[in-house]
Amino acid sequence: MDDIDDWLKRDYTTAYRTACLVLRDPIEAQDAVQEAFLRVWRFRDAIPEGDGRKAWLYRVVVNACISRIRSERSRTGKDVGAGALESIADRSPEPGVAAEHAQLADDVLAALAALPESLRVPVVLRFFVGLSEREIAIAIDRRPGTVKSRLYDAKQRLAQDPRLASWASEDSFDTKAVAR
Amino acid sequence: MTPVLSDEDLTAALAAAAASYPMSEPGDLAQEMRGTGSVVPMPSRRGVRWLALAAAVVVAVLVTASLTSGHAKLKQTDARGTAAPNDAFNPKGAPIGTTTAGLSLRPDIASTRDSLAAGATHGQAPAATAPAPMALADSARVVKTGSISLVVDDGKVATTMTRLRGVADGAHGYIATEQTTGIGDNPTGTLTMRVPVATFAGVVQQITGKGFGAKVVSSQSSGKDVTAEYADTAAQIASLEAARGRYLTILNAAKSVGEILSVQQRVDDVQGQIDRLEGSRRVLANQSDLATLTVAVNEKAGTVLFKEQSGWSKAWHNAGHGFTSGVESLIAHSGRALLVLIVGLLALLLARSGWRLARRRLI
Repeated sequence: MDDIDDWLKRDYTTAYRTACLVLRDPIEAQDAVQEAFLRVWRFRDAIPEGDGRKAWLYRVVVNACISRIRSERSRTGKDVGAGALESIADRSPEPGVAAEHAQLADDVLAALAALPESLRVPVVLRFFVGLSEREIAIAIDRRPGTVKSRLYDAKQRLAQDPRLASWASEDSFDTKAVAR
Repeated sequence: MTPVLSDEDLTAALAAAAASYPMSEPGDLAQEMRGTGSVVPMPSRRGVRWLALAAAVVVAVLVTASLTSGHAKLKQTDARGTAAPNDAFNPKGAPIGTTTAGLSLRPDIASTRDSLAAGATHGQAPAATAPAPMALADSARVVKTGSISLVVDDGKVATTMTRLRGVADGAHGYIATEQTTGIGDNPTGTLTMRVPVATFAGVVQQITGKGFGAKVVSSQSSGKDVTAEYADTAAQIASLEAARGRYLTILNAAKSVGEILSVQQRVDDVQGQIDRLEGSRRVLANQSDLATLTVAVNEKAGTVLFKEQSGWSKAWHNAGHGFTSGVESLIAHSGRALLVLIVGLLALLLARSGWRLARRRLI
């Protein structure tokens, strides 16, 4: 019990931020992660050992997020987080978030919001959580080949997004952020 | 030039975007977990797969069973002498009859029957011997006839005729006519047997089968549905008998000789009609109860029809026959197999979707 509790506490921040990126609504994200963690606890006998543990956890988190998106869509006809992309200044950013990153965060979130869930989730799991393609395949219950093609598709779309166009080039992201 | 976002760019961008959300506290997870009750066992992936596969197999078996029972029902209908698409003696499946579902009485007869029923309610019961028209028409009546032409080895005509008589006896039938001619170089025999309709197909199969030892030159059959005709006749008889009963009542009440003679004349007319119709009904009943099969047996001088084959040639012959039968069987069953395959695939697809949905909802 303590082992699971510690493990979930360790991963809470990443799981919560993942849910934020997928749902684009911090309140919904918090609820989704709480719900996911309780599901993990209820189905603790099914938690795999070793490397598959993390992928399994994010599978539960992603499923909780997708459930909320579908539920909201069928209830209101709109996505969770639609209209929640107000200015970063209104979201009371964490201390330490540089002012020059505020516009970037807005641009990234807007570009991410333009992606369908089928592309948004693999991008977040790959580039924010740091899961491998094989782990993402476990998390979203798709083949690794499907994950690969979705990641490629998502990157193409993000690169063509006008909000991120100025960031997409041969120079590294950090260099340009600093230059701005 | 296509713009490019490197993995590092994306990682940094997502980190910055995620960091822009206010952080929340996880709360006392252990406290909440304790309140959620006991652990829920998770069905294993392999177990769910086997379950889905079993469900698919059950669906496929059920569909196959229903198809087979439908086929069996069709066979039973064939045995009653109705449409027989798979009848060996009627390979083209020509419809040779209809069921009683399509039966209808002539309007005038029906009205007579109704009036009879009305009369019965007023205390004028129809004659006790009157048959119930609808009860008689319960079973389909088909007049079946067939003819077979056989060629046998030298000197085998008489033996074959004897065997044909045995076949008729075995089927609880009888020989209606038998004629043997041309005793000498080219003897022939013709035999007409009457066998119960239910055994007709079996008799034909027995005579045309390999075990009978004769070469079949031609074989044909026909069927004529007389169900409506039979029911019509029976209904006419019933109405005439009812009329006769009424005339007899009037006859009893007649007082003058003129009245008695007049009514008696009517009674005689009706009785004559009843007799004629009764004769027709009996003929129809006889024809539809017993099928007529005419078999002609010829001998072709010097022709050896069934030569004993050597081991090799027999083996080749059997192989060829087996191949042909196999191909025929494959083609015959391909339609049903395709249907079962399609249903099985659909069931698998459904089971797979259900499995995915269930797994998504479980965790």
